[in-house]
Amino acid sequence: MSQSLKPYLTAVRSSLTAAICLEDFSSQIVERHNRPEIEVDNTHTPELILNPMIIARNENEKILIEPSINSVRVSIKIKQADEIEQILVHKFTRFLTSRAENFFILRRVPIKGYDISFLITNFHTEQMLKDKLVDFIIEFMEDVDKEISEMKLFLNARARVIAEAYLTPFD
Amino acid sequence: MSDWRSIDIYALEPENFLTKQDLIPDLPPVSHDVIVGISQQCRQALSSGQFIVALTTALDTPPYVADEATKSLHAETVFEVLCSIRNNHSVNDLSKFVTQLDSTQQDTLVKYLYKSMGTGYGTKQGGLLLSWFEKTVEITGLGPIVRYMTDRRTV
Repeated sequence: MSQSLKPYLTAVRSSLTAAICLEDFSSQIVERHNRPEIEVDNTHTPELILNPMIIARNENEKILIEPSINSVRVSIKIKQADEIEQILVHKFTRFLTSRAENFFILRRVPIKGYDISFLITNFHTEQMLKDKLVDFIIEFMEDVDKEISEMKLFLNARARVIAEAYLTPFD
Repeated sequence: MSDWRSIDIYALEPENFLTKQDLIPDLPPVSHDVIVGISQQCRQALSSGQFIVALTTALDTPPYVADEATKSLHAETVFEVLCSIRNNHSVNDLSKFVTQLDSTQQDTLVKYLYKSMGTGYGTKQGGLLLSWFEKTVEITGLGPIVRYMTDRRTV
């Protein structure tokens, strides 16, 4: 693990552990409704939203954690050094978000300015272990960088082989 | 009345709900000039090598009730102090600075670390702020993070 990645992941881990402290909370506005307070319009109930946290490693890699009383929204900006990585990240996140039902905590649409968002509600923390949820997000952040750079290498290698194959007749 | 579904009926009974203004803590407002004075004090302390004095001066006087310009000015002052401490010391020395602060100052430090990471100049220095954050949380535990989230005295 590189030198600056470790403090980044430790900061994310401790912030997430503090933020995922959720309870069941019915809507104060609509009777018999129970909804993630971070996702609904809170003009009349601003007290349910807590202060958001941004943890940044550099301009290209940051994470936004928005806690509320019964839900936490975690948005990740994945490192994109060049155009190929931008395309790869776009395809990768689209692949995941189109299968969001199977991931439970994945949000279908990322927050503006970020690549992928998770929405953790009190129902998730009742069914799953909090530490495992935090571990999952940390692991995701570690793996996604690895995966993207691996895909980029494969793509370049493949492009080289194809170019060679095309150009052999002119050799 | 074709668009009656989109009428915000709750706005008709404002006394039933809290507004954003109600959440602002009941503290005396801090003026811009005071904060400018503090930033000069901090710079003087830094230039004479009294790093801990600069840090405590900056962390003792956070403008909780002030306009955005004042708040960001003070955030820049704190950021400057943190940068200068880090540039003159090794990473492991940061723990010594954190242990010299009392718990209120540690809470304020975490607030400013989060705030700086959300700004443009802070993201450029992400590694520096993250090493400060790591050392602070090692000593204080999760308490200041929880207090940052729930405290309406925002910086």
